[in-house]
Amino acid sequence: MVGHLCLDTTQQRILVYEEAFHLTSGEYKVLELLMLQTGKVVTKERIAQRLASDGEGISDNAVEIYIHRLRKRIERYGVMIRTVRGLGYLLVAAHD
Amino acid sequence: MINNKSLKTAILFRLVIPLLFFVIIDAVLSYFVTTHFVDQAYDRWLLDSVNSLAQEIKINNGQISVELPPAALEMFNWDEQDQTYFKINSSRNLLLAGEAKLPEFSTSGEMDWSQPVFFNARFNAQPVRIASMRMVFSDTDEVVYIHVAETMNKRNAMMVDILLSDLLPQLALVLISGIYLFSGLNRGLQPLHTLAKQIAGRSARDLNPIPETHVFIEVKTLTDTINTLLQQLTDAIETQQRFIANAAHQLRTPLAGLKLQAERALREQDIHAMQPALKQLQTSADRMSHLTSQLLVLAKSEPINHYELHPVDLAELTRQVCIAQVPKALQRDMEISLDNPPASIMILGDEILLTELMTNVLDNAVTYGHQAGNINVKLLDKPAPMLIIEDDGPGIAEAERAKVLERFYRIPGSSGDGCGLGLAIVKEIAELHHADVTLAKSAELGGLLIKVEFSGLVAD
Repeated sequence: MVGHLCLDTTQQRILVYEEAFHLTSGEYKVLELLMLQTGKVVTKERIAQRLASDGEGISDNAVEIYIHRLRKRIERYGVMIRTVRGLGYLLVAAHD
Repeated sequence: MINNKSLKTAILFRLVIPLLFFVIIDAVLSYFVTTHFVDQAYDRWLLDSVNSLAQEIKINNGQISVELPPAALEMFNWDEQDQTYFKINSSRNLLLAGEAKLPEFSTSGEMDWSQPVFFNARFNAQPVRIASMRMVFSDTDEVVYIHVAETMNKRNAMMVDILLSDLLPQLALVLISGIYLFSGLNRGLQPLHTLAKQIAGRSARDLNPIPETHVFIEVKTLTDTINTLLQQLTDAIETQQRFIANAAHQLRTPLAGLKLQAERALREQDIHAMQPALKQLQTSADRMSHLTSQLLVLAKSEPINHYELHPVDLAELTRQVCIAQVPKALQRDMEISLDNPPASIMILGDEILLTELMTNVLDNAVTYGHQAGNINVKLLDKPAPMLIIEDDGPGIAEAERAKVLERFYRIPGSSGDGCGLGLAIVKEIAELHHADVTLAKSAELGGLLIKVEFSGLVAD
């Protein structure tokens, strides 16, 4: 549970206020990865790897697009994705 | 060396055995030379005898006859040392005079009778030297052979005389050389024995250099090597002692604090009233454990320890250390960023110690930087692998920069729970990697800039 987001790995979904939060499968994978390591840096390579299992290789730009979309979608639920330049991203509960 | 041979014995054997070998070769050569000259001398007399017998051969009407007057025979008997025999026979194989059984020279090829022939044979169970000559006559086809044999006593005696006079001095020479070498070696090796005694007589605590009183270069090389080793040992022991003294001193203060806080907690009756004291106790314990681990790192980075440096990817290491520090930085709302580093920079180093180095630099930046400050990490691979960590914190005054690299030095009035070892660890690990640590003011961020330049060990 981070902010108002709740990760349910058994059913592969994320709940907001006890309701399912609709995400594409790629978005889910990225968010799951970040939530499982809340407060820790997840490298771009790691995210790309996770996404790449869908098929073709994933470019850094593609990862950035996912992050950008996720950021927009989750910011109102008390969670934010921070960029650590040169290292990767990490998920933190927003200070209100 | 497993097989402990004495240097003395080895030198002696290497000199005396070849010497003996040369004497033996010389003896063999002498034998042949002597034989040649002795034979030459005695063969002349043998030939004289043959010639005098030849004068006694007469031809009457194609008939060969030998008439030996007693005076002629006398010449064969006067010698007491050697027996002389003779034989005269003709080509018709008739014995004209002398011993019938005296051996004749036999050869598979054509005999060359233009010269008298000399050869060795046995007669009457004795070795003899025989001279043979052929006589041809103008008025008959018949050919006469004259043989004179002599036992070899005189020759052998002379051979022995010559060989002995030749070999005995040589053997004596070898013997004298051996004795002289033996005593010379004893004297020559004396400095080594003295040195061994000097070293054996030392106490384990005496690490003073061995006095340079030895004349020989070989011994001096040895003492120089030992002295270098002793100097290294002295340095190592001093470092260790200084370290132990420092560590004990540093551990005493927080331990006293711990004790005090525990006593304070014990005085309180109410469990809630104990809380502040217990909190402090925990903080002190944390500080102690930090100090202890820092001391351990320092002990490990002592140059006296044995190191094997392996190729390490500095870029990957930096990434890992930065990632590990991000959560702590976030607690203080600080940003750590890594400026697009090269994919990999291979250097020779110890991975654990390099991690400690970077962790200490970053940890300092996070601990002493401003709330919500920035830390910027840069990694360059040219001209030499270089790590630059700068922040927008308070920085370190120029006068303090050299001191903060020393062990247990803390800037007066500084905050935090530091033990004054962090940057000392950085410097000492850097030294192990032949790297230079420079502290400066960051032009970009305004705080401290720490530059670690790995000039020495670049992995291929």
